[in-house]
Amino acid sequence: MPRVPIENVRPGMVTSKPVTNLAGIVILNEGVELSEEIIQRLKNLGVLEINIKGVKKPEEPLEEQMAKLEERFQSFANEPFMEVLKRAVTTHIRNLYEGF
Amino acid sequence: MRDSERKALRYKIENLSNLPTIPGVLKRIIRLIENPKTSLSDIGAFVTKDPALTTKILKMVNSPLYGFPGRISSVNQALVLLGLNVTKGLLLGVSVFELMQKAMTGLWEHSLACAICSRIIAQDMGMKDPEEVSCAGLLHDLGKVAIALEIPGIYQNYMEEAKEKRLPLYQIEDEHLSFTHAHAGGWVTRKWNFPKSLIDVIEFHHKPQLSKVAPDHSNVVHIADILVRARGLGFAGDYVVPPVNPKAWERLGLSEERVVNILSRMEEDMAESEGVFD
Repeated sequence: MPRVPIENVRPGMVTSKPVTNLAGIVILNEGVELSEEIIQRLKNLGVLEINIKGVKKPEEPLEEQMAKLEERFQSFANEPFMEVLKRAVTTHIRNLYEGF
Repeated sequence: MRDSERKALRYKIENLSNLPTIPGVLKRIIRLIENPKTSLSDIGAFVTKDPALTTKILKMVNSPLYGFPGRISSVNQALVLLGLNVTKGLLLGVSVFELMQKAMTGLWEHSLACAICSRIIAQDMGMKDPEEVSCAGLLHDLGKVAIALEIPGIYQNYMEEAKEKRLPLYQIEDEHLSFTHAHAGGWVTRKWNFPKSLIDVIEFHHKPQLSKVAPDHSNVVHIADILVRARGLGFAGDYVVPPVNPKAWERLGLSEERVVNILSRMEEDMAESEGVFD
C-alpha cells in the first residue's frame, strides 16, 4: 500500500485509503480509480501524497534478493519440483522490480 | 531429551494457557473455545462486549485474509458468514498476534502470507471453505509459539543450529525433542477442542500425505507454507526452503506459470494488508 507523491500519481491508479484534505476531511473514498481531472483537483486542494493500491518496489536491491534466494534453495535443490519452484520465484521477484 | 523430560514439556505445552505471559483476554478466549457447548451466539456476545476485540475481528474479516467482496460491518454478520469452526480460529488468530510477535520476529508476517496464499489456492481449486483453509494457514505454526514460550533459550539455540546446518527448524526440533512444532501445535489445539480439520492441518503441514481428516486443506497449507518461504516473506525460524511433497504439488496441479500467478496475487494482498493488524 505505497504512499505515492502526487506528482507521480497517474490516471488509472486506484486509491487504497480515503484521501483527506489538510483539515482531515475525506475528499475521496478508497477504491476510486483516478482520472486526469481528479488528480488535478487533488493537486489544487493541496494534497501531497496518496495511498495507491498495489505493490511497491522492494527497497532491497534485486541482486541481494537473488543472492538470498540462491541460498534458501541450496539445501534441497535436487528434490522434485524444487527447480520449477525456484524458477517461478525468480520470475516473480524480477517482476516486482519492473514498471517503476 | 529424556523420555520423562519430553513428557513434562508436552504437559507444559498442552497447558500453555497457564503461562503467566499469556494475556488475560486470550485466556478467556481459550476457555470459550475449549468449551464444547459454546455456540456462535455465545461468541458473538463475548466479542461485542469488548470493543478492541470487535475492531480486530472486523479488520480481519475485511482484510485480504478472507475473500469477501463487500464490507462486513457487524460482528454478528461476520460470525454467521464464517460459521463456528472458522470463527474459533479467527478469534484465536486475532489474539495470538502479539504472542507471535513476541515468540519469533517475522512469524506473524510468515503466517499472514501463508493464510493469504492458502486462501488464493483454495479458491482456485474451487474448494467450498477457503476461509477455513486460510485460518489453518494463519495458525499452522502455532506450535512454534508454544515451544518458544515454554523453552525460549533452548529454542533460540535450535534456530541457531538450523541456520548453521542449513536445515529446516523442524528437523532440528525432531533431533533434540523427538517431536516437532507440528506435533506441539496439534497438542495445544486438541486440548483447546479445536475443529478436527484445523488440528489435522496443523499436525500434518509438513507431511500432508498423513492427513486423514482434511487432506485437501493440508495439501494447500503445506504448499502455501513453502511458497511463502520460497518468496522470503517473514521469518519462520530458519533460512531454507524445505522440500515440497510431490503428491501435494501434483494434487494442486501446480506449474511454473501457476506459481508465478499465485505469488503475484499474494504480493498484492500482502501490500493491501500492511498495517491492518498493528
